[in-house]
Amino acid sequence: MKELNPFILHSSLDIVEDIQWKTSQLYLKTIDNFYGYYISGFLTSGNIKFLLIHETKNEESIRQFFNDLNDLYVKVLLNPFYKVNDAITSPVFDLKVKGFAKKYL
Amino acid sequence: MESYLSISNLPFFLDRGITIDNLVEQKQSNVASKKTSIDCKRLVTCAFSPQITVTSSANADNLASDFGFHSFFQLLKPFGDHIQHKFQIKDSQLVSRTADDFSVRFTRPLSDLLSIQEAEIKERNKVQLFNQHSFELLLGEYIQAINPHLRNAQKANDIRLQSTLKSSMYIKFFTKLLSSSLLTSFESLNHPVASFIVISADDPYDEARRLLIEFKSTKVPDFMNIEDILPLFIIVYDEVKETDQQKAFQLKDHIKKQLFTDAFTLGISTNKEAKSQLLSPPVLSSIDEELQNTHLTSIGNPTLPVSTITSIYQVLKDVIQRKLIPFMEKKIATWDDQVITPRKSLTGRFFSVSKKYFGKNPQNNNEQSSNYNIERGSYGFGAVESLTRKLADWSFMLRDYRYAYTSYELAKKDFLSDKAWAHLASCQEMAAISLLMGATNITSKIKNDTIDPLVDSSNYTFLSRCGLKTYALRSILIVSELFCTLRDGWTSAPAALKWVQKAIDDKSVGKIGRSLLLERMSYINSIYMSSQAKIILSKKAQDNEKENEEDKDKEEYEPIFNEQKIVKENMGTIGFTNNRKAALWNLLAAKDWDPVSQPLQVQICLNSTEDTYGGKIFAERDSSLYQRLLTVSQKHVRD
Amino acid sequence: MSSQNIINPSTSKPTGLKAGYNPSLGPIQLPSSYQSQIASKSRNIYDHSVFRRTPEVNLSSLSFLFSAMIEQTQQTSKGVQQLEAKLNSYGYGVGNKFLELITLREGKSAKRETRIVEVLQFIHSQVWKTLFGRPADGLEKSQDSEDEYMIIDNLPLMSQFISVPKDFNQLNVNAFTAGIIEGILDSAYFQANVSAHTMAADGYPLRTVFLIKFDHGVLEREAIRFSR
Repeated sequence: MKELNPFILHSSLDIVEDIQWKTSQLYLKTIDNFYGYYISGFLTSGNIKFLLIHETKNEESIRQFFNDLNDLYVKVLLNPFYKVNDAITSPVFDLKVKGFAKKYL
Repeated sequence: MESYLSISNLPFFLDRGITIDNLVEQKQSNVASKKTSIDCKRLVTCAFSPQITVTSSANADNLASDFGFHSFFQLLKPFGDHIQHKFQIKDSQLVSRTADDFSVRFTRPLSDLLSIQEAEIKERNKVQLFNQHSFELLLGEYIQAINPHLRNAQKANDIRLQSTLKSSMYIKFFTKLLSSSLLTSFESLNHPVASFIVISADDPYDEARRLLIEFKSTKVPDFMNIEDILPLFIIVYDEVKETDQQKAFQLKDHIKKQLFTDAFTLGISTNKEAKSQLLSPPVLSSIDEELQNTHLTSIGNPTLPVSTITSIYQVLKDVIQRKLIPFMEKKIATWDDQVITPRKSLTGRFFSVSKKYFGKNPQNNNEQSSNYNIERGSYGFGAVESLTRKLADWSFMLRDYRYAYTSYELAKKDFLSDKAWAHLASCQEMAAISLLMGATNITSKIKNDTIDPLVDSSNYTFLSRCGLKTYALRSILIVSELFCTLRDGWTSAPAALKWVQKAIDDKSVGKIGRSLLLERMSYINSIYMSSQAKIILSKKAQDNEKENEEDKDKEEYEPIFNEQKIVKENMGTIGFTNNRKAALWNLLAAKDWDPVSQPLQVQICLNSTEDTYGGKIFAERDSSLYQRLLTVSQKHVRD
Repeated sequence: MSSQNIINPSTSKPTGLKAGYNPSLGPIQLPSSYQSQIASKSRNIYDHSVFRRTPEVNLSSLSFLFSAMIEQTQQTSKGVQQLEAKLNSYGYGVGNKFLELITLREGKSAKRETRIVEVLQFIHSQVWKTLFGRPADGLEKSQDSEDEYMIIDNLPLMSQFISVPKDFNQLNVNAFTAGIIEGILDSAYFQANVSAHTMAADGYPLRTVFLIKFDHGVLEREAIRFSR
């Protein structure tokens, strides 16, 4: 079942694209539900989408997680050699994301 | 033959090299085509049509066996699927409407049907619309039959043929779901409306008389009324023998005078030299019938002379327009007077209310007591409730959906107070279906306030109180398809999705059925787009087609292109389509098909997800589900 | 982009020091020795704060950098159009990232823009203020076509110290700023083409008009979603 996760997340992009025009918030809270899995989203102003699939709802901590992630992402962007939509390959980034996950989720 | 019916016989045509251009979808730029749902809606009209039992004399059967059929019933069956003619039907308000075609379902003689049913019920102790096992078997065989053609289409890169073959699977599934001749007390759709007694011109008058008496004295269960079935004689004569036609006419007059029954003559040509045409297998045959036909019969390529085919259709048109439809209209009017008008009139209501409150006397109470026989779970055929239901069913068959809906609503109340669960559930289901079939404008208010509760309650009752899984399955799949046919995909698709999901979650289908339903979820998601998005995308598709056709005469000048430019062409439709969801369900369907046992189906499913998952790293890396399914199915596909 | 460098999910054999995500197992947790090894590497970009006290840069240095940039671009391009296009592409990358940065710095009150008018006002006031210290001088909608808007700057900062020779009359080096605007609009899903045109008036010889031409898809979306 875990192998379906990326595909489930990808499919909730359809919903993100719809509700992004209905609110000017960045944090989109829970946007979708698939057989008991909740999917929460966060959308930056540059339309970069962060999606999280989880089983228990915990809005506040997820919000903080996304905020820290946004901070981290902007730092990635500030790299002049990094173009938008490139793959992120830094192991430090990976480590930090996992650190945030441990802290908030 | 209409495409939505012929498509069930696709392997039959393909195997014999018959061209099927009219079946294949024409334009490739059909964005979010709802064709399969519209076909399903037409199938509902065809399947919920009057049932006619066919009894034939020995001589008639002999005539049929000249052509290779083992009974006249078998010869006649394919003709009922679709009779093309402008039929005039008068609805309850005596307004005459034209129907472009009509269908009837031919079945075995009533006594045969009843005895087979009894035997089954004794064996299984429960009423089932169809046998899950046989259903899976049939579907499996069908897939086996189309797989070679699918493979050829795949190799030839013929996308239209592929999608037609694929959608034919679901249509076959749906058709079989609807084609059952089960006779139950709570659903009078399958109660025969007429009976054909087929005799040949060589038969003496006594034979006709005997058959009629046999018919009239058939032992039917309490909930059926033999008087409600119209007997008709069909006198078959051989066109080649000159005296036969005379004999037939004489017999016809004799029968009319003595037996007061109508008779029709049918000329059959036994001329072996005459030009003949292939008969495609009957579409609306029940699952067991179809399995029997493929396994037991020896007829490979049944043919009939063209003249005979024409005569048979002519007789059917005659019978339906001149006898069947008026018979049904008259009965409906009678029942209307008997049961509907009294209830609706003020005095009628007053009387029934007073009886309820003032009839404390036990004697009086018996009159008003329920007609429902709890032990047998049925109403007598003369009961008000039965007549109301039958009235509703017959109006449905005559396509007077509004009248059918109001009648179902009336009957519903009675069933609820009598706690007749199966009757109630069936009534609710039919009320929702007639609303969806007939109403021209279904607002979300109607959907939420009327249709949803009806289907919800019907489903719950079928499953929990009656244990009738097959009926529940049929009702929610019909409702789902009818929702898909509604104009606005954006508001109706979620409802359709909900019901198909329920069918999957309730595990009411077998293995193949489940894979087909998962594919259906994907299809519904692909039509789940707003109407404006559909317009925009169709226009784009058309423009693309035009561009591909025109010559590319553009100059080869290269403007400086900003490589970083974020190119997004879907700004107009963003958020209004559900293609990624459709891809997810296709992936789930592919996983369910299992790449080892059905690699071709898996590949076709994954092909439709290529637009969404192609080029995406998360989908194409080696350990992803998508990639694994692709590679395993590639290994197992047999050429 | 070689797939070796992407943090791919590893195969079923755990290959030690490959970070990332395995679809069947989830995020890969690496031994803590590796973690400390990574973390103790020299200060990296992630440790810097995004919120600096005075995000200001010396104007003369900026102008010098800019003029050098133009000079080099001029050498490699043949003609005014190519030059402008290249400058545009340089600004484009800046625009993409700048949008995110501004939003992040807004903190709690961060918003996304969903309508054309809102996003243009955002650019007109916020972006200009942050970049150039003052809001732009004008925001107009074109009378002739539905999809064209204009932002007007009487004294564009970037081209203040650039002098354009007579044979490059058509050139407006604010193509760079136009690129920034285009980058912002594109990443906010308002696909557009932005170009800079010199229109002197009233004692402002360097007055520049930024012409913003939206993609028709954006207008369709605006009509469908926001017209009641």
